[in-house]
Amino acid sequence: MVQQQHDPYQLLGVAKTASQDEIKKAYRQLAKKLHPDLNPGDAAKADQFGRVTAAYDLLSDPEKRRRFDAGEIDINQQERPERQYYRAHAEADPSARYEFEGGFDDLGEFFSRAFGGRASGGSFGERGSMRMRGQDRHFHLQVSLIEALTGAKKTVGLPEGGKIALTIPAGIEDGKTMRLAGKGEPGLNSGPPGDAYVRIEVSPDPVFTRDGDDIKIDLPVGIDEAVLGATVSVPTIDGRVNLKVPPNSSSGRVMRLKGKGAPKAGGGAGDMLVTLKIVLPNKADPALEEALKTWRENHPHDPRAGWKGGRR
Amino acid sequence: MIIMTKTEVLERVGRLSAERLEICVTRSWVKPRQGERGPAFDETDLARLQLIVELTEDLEVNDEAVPVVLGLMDELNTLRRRMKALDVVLEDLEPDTRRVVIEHLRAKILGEG
Repeated sequence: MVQQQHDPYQLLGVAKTASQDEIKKAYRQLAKKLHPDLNPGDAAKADQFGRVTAAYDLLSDPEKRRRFDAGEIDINQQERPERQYYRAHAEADPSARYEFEGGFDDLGEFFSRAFGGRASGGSFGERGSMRMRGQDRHFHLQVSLIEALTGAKKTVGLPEGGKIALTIPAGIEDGKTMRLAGKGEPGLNSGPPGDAYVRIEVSPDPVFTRDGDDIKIDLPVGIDEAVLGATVSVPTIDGRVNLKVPPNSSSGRVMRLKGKGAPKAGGGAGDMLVTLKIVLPNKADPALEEALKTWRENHPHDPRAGWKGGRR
Repeated sequence: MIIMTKTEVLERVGRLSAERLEICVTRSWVKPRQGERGPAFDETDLARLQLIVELTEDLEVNDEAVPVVLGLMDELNTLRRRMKALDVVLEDLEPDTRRVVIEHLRAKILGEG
């Protein structure tokens, strides 16, 4: 293999006695197969083409060929300038002068919308005189959970000064991107402006958490409230409401406040789910201890009856 | 961007004669910008001229077939350019979304395999 890479005759697949015509013919055959502009993205063929070309440059020059045959030079001394093929230029050229002028409509809805209207009958001139749509801008905007749930008016500052005002729709979810048509960079030569895309990041709230369209909240209740029942004032995203805690409520019980959740896109709203958490007094309470001791003696109760953890 | 005159182009592109350069321009195989003193070539034009020389000299493409080959190549290069743009945009997607797109594409391509 190493031998082959250094032997220009083997690289071209010709005998040492081959005529100049045979060498040329062999090179042409290989070039048709290997030319990098006919095989875009194929690094192996591009590399082989480079070596074959170097071999041909050596053997097609009778003087170089004589010196190689005499062992005076080898193929590594053959100049092989690092070459950029046409494709690399074509894929980077901003003028689009050589872009395909046909349409992409037949490729399907997605490509037709994404790529359509770019090429237009080959009238692409200089970038300087071409009507071009402005670049899109991308922003991140942090909003509180309450702002995300109730909606808010915000502004984002532009790097070059000035700002864009935007209205956050009530109920927007974390990670959603808002598109502001025409708020991107201005177009060139009276081309239309680009769009602005604002990605919304919702910061967590100490009281409310969101779960889809529902909002969750933990509600601390005293042991007396849990046992005897109570009416407790709880916050919602649009003001406080009174919640009735039924008598004999366990910690972890979930109470549902219909329609007090996140606004839904199509109207209406999710629910608020209130989870009870029984909270004991900060300090041990002798009266409570006494009462419960008496209660325990007379009322045997197994809180872990039916608990699956009891059988493992 | 480096702009070159016809004379400079002839010095840079191997095996290209003034006569052939004229043919390449009049047949719009290359489309140099129009400068104040005649056509102004850039590196893209230069590479395209080098390609045309190789097509006609080494790959034995005759002059009638040159526009056909160039046209197909332009279509291929434009599509590759669009695919690269698509790649950049898809790379920006959320990892989960990207994974779904890749899975669907693979399934589709293997399905048609």
